[in-house]
Amino acid sequence: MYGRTTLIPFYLVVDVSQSMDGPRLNTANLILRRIGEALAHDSVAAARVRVGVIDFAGGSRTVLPLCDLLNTATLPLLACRDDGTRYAPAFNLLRATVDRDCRQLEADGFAVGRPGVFFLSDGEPFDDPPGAWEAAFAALLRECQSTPNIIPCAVADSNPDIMRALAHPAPTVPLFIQSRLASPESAIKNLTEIIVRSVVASGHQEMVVIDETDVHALDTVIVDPPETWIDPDSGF
Amino acid sequence: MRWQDAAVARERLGRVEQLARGGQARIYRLPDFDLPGVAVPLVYKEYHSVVGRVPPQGLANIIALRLAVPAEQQLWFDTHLTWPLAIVVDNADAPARARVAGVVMRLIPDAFFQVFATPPGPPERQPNEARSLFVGPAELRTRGLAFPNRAQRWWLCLRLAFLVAYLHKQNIVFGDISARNVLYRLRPTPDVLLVDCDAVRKVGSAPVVDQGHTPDFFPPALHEPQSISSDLFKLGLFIARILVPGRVVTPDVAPDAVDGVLDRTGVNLVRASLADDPRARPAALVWYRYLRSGAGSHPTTVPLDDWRDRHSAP
Repeated sequence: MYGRTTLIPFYLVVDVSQSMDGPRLNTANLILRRIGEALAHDSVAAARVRVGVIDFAGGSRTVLPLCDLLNTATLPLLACRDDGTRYAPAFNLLRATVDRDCRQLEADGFAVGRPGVFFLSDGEPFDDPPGAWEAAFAALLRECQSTPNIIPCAVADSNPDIMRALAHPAPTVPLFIQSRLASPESAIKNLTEIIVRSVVASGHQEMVVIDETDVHALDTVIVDPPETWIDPDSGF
Repeated sequence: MRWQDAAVARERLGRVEQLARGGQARIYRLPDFDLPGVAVPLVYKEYHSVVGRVPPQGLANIIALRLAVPAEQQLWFDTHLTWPLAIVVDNADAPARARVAGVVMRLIPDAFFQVFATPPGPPERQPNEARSLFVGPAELRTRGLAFPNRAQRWWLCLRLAFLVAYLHKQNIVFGDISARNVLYRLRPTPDVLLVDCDAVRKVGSAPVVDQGHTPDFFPPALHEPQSISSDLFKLGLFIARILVPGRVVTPDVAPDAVDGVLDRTGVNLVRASLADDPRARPAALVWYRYLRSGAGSHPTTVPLDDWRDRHSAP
């Protein structure tokens, strides 16, 4: 009997709040196109990777339902919304989407690997009531049938502490934080390369792999281990 | 853990290629040998006879400390500490007569090597020892190295404080924190690596491999043994030296030297770290939290282009 093909679902979850308007969003819009180009040149990876896009500002929407990019005639463009930044709607939509997609792919006869999520934000969340995004994030990790790997991509004014907390599984997943010396656009451009290579590599290895070979091209901070590791008052 | 479980016979290592030679040991690359569950290139550190007889059970206890690390910390541990992974013995067939010849450790990662200009000879590739952090820009230039900026130095201090705090939380004394046992890199991110971890000591047990203090890092009390508090003394001195490069920073002048480089809290931390009273020295966790809180104002590293330009300068 032949083994079933394993599919790795990837989700780009992108901040489209006011502050992303202009060059930042234009650059972010290239991520999907670049992934498509890379997959077009790599049939092995293309056969195993599916990509979906979710945006968020005050609310969250599915921009591109999970699909085979090579069979997608036109790639959607992210559009800025005149709105603030809330993370909770994005996590809630992501949780529902991941669950539904995994069930769907399994019903279609595929094995489904743990999904990968690139979470790109340039600002701090202002969720109302306070604690809303934390609860939504906890629910995402707790309730998803297949807990996704979450790779936070922090640019511009995002809060490093919050972004660090989103890395899952912590701390081996790198967190990309942009240097203040580079423009947000160039940070997103650099991130794009890593995202593209990671998606392709994951297709080959049938699991989410973050390509770090060229991380030095970024001004990055790899996620710091948590303080609980060194605080004698906390357990291991 | 019985030491026999961590022992490898010398002849099982296969080919060895000498990489380096130091006062206490020779280092060989092991192209043919690997250990289960260790996915990095390995080296064999062969002790010179001057090290004396090394008790195998003591080394096995150190090896066991690494195996007790929680799974999610393993990768970080292996990339920041060159820990002994196996004991190499002669006479493996006769355990009673077996003698410790050395240990197997990971090869130092590439990022912690640096190509040094050594005129008139060809450039040499060597581990990037922290002593380069203590000298001024002109001296570094003659060695063909980039001069780390303040933000990078700050990050290096932060990472070192984390490492020391990590060991101390597990009740491990590193012991010989020195300009040669701490390696650093600036790319992809500023970070440090502790080498020679076969000489660490668990609090409450005797040292296995005795290394003494490096002369430049003598704690104030005569014959003060290596302990958590001597580690803290050296950490404070190290941080002062990293942040005030190009000056001779002795324990006496360190608090003045960092005045203006650190704020009042930082100067007080340096002063307390170098106190004669070992109990007055702040924990590495205190240093970490202090540096972490200031790190927000220095989150950057030098852009790659800038760094490349300096390195490609003829």
